[in-house]
Amino acid sequence: MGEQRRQTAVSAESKIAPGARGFVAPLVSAIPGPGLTMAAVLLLCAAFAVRLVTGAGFDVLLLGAIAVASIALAVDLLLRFRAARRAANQSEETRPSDLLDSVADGICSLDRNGLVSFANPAAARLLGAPATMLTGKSVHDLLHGSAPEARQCPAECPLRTAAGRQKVTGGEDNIYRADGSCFPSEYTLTPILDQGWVQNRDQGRFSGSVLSFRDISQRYALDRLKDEFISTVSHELRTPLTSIRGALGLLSSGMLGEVNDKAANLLRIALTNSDRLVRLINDILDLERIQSGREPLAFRTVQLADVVRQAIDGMTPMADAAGVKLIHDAIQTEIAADPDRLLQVLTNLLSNAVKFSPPNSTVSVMLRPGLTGVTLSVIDHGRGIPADKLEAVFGRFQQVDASDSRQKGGSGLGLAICRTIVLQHSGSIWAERNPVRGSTFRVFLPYHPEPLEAGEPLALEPGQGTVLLAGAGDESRPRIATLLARHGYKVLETSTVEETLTAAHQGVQAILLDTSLDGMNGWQILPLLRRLDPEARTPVVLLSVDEPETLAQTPVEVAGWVQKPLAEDRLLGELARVLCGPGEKARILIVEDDHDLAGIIGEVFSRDSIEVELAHSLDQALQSCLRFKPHLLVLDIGLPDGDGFNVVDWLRQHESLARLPLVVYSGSTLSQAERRQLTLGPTHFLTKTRVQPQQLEALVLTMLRSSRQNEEVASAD
Amino acid sequence: MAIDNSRARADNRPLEITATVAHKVLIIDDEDDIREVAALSLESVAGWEVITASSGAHGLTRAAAEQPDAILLDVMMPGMDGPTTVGELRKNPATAAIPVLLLTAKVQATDQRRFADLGVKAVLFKPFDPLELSNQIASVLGWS
Repeated sequence: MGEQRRQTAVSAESKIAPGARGFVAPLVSAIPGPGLTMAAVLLLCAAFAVRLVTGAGFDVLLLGAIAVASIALAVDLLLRFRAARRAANQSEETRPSDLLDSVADGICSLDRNGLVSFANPAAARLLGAPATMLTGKSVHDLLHGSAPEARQCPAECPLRTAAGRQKVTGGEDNIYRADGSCFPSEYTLTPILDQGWVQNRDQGRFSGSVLSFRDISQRYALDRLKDEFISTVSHELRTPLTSIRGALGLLSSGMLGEVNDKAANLLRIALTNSDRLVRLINDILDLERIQSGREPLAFRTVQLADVVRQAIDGMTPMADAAGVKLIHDAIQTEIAADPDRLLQVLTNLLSNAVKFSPPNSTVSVMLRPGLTGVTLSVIDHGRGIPADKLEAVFGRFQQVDASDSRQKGGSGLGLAICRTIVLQHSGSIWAERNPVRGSTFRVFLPYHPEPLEAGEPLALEPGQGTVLLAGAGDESRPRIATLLARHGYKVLETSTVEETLTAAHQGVQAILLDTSLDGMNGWQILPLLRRLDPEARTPVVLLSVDEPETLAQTPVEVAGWVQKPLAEDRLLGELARVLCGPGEKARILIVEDDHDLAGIIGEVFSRDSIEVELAHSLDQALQSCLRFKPHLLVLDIGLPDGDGFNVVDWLRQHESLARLPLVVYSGSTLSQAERRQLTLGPTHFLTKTRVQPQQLEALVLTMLRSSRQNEEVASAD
Repeated sequence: MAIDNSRARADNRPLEITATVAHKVLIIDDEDDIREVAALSLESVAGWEVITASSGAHGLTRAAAEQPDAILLDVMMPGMDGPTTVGELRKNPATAAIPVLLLTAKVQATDQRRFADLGVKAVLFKPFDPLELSNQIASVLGWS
């Protein structure tokens, strides 16, 4: 805001005649322009009159009057000059119709029926037909109508349907001139929505569209040139390398005769370095190819666990040679992705992890499905990455230690390639230090990488937690099961001791245990649960008619307690609490400048036994992050002393906060670029108008749960 | 443990002469050094008989005269390039049935799409591992 105000002030000053600024400006603004000359003349007359009447002795007065009158005249002249100049400028100002006539892009206006009502000269020139011939045509007829018979476009040509759409469409396509020749072009079709009618732009009355297009054959030619260059360079580099690599491979195999130890060592050095050079060339070409975007990703439904398995299979020889074990969990998760590129990401991450792992250690790959995407973690127990390098490792030719590229044989481009690919999947990738030893690389991949269309309802997926509900034929059990299912939990129901003990080992995240159970009561089954699986940290919440005060005497294994008859809120709150962390209450910070809304959101979470802090300004938010150490941040974009972007930028500078789970709860839908700028750790975007606080609650609880799980995974290894 | 053993055997295999039948392979490449390394690799690792040609035109003559079991063909050569050579081989009934494998230093996807249309058995990439080259050819052509 301050910045904006400053700009306004500067531009106001710049309207004053150049050169006069600073010195004359205060004068000019202080004295009203018209009548200055008149005043000067009057002043002189008065002085003369006085001189005539009083005789000699008033020369000083006359001189003074002449001086004042001269200044007044000068100022008057200046003002006139300025006014004349302004008038001249105005007549030079370009009229909109001149703009349309001289712009190089073809511009056409279309009426409500999608027919051309006006075409500018550039459109006529580009299409090789007089403007009058273009009016009355549809967009498709205009751009594709002159295509020769053999090159007619298919029925699903996007231009056929484009004009009727009430949102901006665009793309690249060949456009045909009147003579049937064609050129590659980039076009945009923008609807004109009558904004005065309804305030909401999305619902404005559609009154037609504007089509703009331009010739991009030059860009195509450049792209082709670049392609050819890269293809040639790659060929020219590989050809000599083929001979070198082949000769060294045969020599060092000993197949052509034994060589002495010193020579064998030199051969090994030459061989590994020629391999490194090959990888470097491959990686440079890969990175260029992927970043250029000329080979778009081939998205399809992918079973992520398959890609993980494939990557592990591919890396096993290298891992075996290094004495490192590769393990993975087999959680089945489907996402839309380019499987080849994902394989490349995983292979790069695994290869890094293996390279920096000591012998006899383990590298594990974990998949954690979340609300809107899946988090993939590659965890090693190597020497780890210094805190100040966690981000730098994703740059080109960045290695933690300068000697790494020599010792580890990497190209220094692997992680840059990973990041590029992950970003193309609308995901994020980052590195973390493990609490004890080594690093964890995490990749968040959304299930559906396309940005949410405006107006599309946000589908909140069910939470991923599985809850075991154990209790004897109590009539309240179905009610609890329904309640939990409605809040996104998967529910396993059991009524006997045997069933309960079996089910408890099927990967449940929490156990709700009724103290009345067939064959045994809840108290007695507790030690059994622990004895069968002493490592299990599955929290148990007791449902009991007893007073919670007796909790003091209960075994330590009981993480939570809900008294019957059950209050729904209380049950959900306890469950959320035990799932978020043993002992510690989850803390969330809500940054929202609207005090009322902040209060409502805070109220929602306080029901869930979550500690909530509210911040209403940028400054408060930053203070709270340091002091309150939230587990999750709910962030509004507009703040009185800054915005959400400032908060995120600041958080990124702090190691302990840079991966904070974040929910951006904004007033308007954000662009893909804005979303990228706002991403911290696992990040979700909600639009206030489309999401109720209750949905926000469900999302936050799920995120807290999954970040808790991730922490457990990290600390368990 | 069992898996580890089998992997160790797989890695050692190129060092032994595994082919019982001495296949005859024609290498067409304009680079003398590459021709020599590839020939040496197939001869000493797999024990195959190797004949060579330094241009597409020369390759056509040798292929017709010698009737090799497979042709390893470079893509970028002055004069007649790899794809043209494939076309010429196909036109001559005497060489039409000989399986062709391209050996290329080009990895651009646009290039690869072009190769896919040629009807070759496989596209192998340079630089190749001389200890693995014969295995790659054998597995593509089903020579065990």
